[in-house]
Amino acid sequence: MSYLNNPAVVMDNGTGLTKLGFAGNDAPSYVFPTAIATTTGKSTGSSNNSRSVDQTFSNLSLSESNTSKAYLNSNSTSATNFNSTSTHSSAILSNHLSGKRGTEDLDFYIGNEALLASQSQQYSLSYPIRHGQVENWDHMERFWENSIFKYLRTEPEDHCFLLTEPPLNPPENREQVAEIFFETFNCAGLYIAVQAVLALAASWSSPKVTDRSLTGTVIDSGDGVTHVIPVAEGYVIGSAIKNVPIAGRDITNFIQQILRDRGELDASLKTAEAIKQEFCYVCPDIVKEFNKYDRDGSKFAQYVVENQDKTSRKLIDVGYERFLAPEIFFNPEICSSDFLTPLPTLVDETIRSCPIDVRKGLYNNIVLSGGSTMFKDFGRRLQRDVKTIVNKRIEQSEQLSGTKSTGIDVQVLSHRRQRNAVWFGGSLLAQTGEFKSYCHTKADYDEYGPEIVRTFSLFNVAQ
Amino acid sequence: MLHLPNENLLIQKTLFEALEKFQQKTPIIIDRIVTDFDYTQYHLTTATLPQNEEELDESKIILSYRSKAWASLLKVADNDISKLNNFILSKLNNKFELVKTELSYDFTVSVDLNNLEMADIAQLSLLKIHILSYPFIQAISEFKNLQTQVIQSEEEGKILTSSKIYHIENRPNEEGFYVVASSDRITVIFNTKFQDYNDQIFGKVFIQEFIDSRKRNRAIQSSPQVLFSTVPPLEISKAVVKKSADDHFITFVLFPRHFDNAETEFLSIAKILQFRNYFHYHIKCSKAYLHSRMRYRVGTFLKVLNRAKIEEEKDTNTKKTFSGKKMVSF
Repeated sequence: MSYLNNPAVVMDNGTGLTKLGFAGNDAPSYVFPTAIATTTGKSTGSSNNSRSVDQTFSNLSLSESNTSKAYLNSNSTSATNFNSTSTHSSAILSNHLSGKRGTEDLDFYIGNEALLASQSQQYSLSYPIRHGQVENWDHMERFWENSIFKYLRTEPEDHCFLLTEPPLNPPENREQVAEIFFETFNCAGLYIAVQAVLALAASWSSPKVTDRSLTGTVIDSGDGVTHVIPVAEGYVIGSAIKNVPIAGRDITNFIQQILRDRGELDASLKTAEAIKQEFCYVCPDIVKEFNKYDRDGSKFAQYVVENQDKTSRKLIDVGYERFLAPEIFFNPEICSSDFLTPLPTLVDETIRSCPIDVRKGLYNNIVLSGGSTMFKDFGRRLQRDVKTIVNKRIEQSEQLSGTKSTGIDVQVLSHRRQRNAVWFGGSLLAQTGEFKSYCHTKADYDEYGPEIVRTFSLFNVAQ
Repeated sequence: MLHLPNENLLIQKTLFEALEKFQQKTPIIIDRIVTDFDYTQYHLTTATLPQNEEELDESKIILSYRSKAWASLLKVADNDISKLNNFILSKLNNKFELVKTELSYDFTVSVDLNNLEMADIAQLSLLKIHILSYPFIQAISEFKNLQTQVIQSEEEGKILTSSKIYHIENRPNEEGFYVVASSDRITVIFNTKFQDYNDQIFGKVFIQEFIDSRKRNRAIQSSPQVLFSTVPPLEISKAVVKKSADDHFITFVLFPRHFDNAETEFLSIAKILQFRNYFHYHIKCSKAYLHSRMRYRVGTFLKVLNRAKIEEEKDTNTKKTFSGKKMVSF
């Protein structure tokens, strides 16, 4: 019966952004901040309340279109969200909850609506995920509740769920997730996958990939932190994971700093973010690039800032920051004073701390994931730099030993699905027919308890 | 969020994005699956040109719908698919063109981005409700017939009940709802089942409160009457073929005031159609609330336990000599 083939739900809850969607789609249906706005508990005075209710009534005719707009804007690409159209805020607030006592636990908003709601005093904003791991389970449970029922409109009994977890997530957290998904939601099946493994799977969509292996090094750079994660045959080599404290937010701040130093008319975070997404690229050599800019004025760009009702325009010059900003991955000293290891060196170190028999595979398949790896030529530069390091070492050992090495092939893969690679990998795996058989079902859970989710069988790699 | 919105946000969002991009002359190519409650699935794709299946027509989007309820809807429409299709198209203000039904889907329309307005997007996002409102509209017209019959017969207090019972099965295991028209009311009866034993208990408490709240709160006296039983109510007893132990029948009685104009009619139907989803959503919310209370309790107990921890006793038995050597007493 065809109607029973409900698509699996893929949820990737990250520190900054949550990606929600259905398996089989090529992009997540919703991307919004992992934020929840809850009532602060105390009412802000009766006069205030009645005013907001009045406002809602007067907005009632408008509210339909306004509220819908608030959701419609919800597909943003950055964790620092700028879509908060403050003009709509009055329309979504006020749930008429004052007359319904005992429903305070239902009075909350998630995602972009949470950002909106938190502008009023009644709600306080919180981020239930910190450093990739769930910190506040109460909030997370309600976040899921709302994302499943309101946004995805699915009955959890009818769908399988694929969730993601960061590498080195303690198994107790997995058990908590299972408790929530099986006991609160009674979901039909649950699979929890490691983000890095999904990012590897997402790279299979690239035409360059010939064998679908789950061995490789994943460079996952989001908003807060960059991870270098080696994965051998589907298992993360936990002891070798390395972190870089440089990621998307630092690049934005760096651009903002340059704009400020130069005294541009508008140096807001929003402008810096837009410049980062639109203009930045990775250059092969800074010195040459500087010269190029000095010789050729056409390299300089201009970014136009318009205010909301498009009455005033400001022109912002964009100069060296086009290539300098992403350069902080390769020469961190230009922006930070305490972290000085370039990314290529770190990748090399990571791979060298792995068992010797997988290193070749790790060098061979370096996969990029996350929004901050989207700069043009990022992969090419990384490949060149890692290759230089490796070749130098090989040369040295050849000299010392006097034998000829077969050489190591370094390959960095960049593909079109990089931005939401983790989600896409999940979608790719969850749409296969076998996915259901890899999930733990509600019946299993009832039989064995939450510890069943400590192990998940890996997807069959061979096609 | 207390309420679930009537419209499907994702359809709204997808169409809005497509429209916006199309108007900016940078059309996007979409191929997306969207779901809704009760085994409902939509498929939005960019259309292909009629003369060449390989070429994409970026100004048109194909929206396909399928659900478990379609088979029983067809039965209500006397297996006349064109009747049902025409009904749905009229609900969508006849703005969309019916096209060849996509494989494994039940209903397909083509959406032309050239003359798509925000109001149309809102209608499309309510597609599921529009489709499922078919038996209700049938029942309402029957209600009107019966009412005129009663008036014509001039018999005091006579109540006619239609012999037709519309049964829509929108979930597996015979879960669904029944619609019966009488000359003074329309009765909607839900049959809902619980997969989980805990859910069943929550559900019973919830329904009990639901019935009582109408008695207690004077402000909602105009709402439809709600009844609950575990055996099929008399109105539908002959239509219920398979009886099982975990049947829960929830009856809503709609009076003429609930469907006397187009707006209230739509709202009543939309709310009633969402009832099961809303009901189960709230069971889940209650569980989540209980869990958060339990976590809070565990937290406070742990604090108490930590306070009760006996601090390490200081060694009072060992004494030191003047030179610093220990004197250990046994």
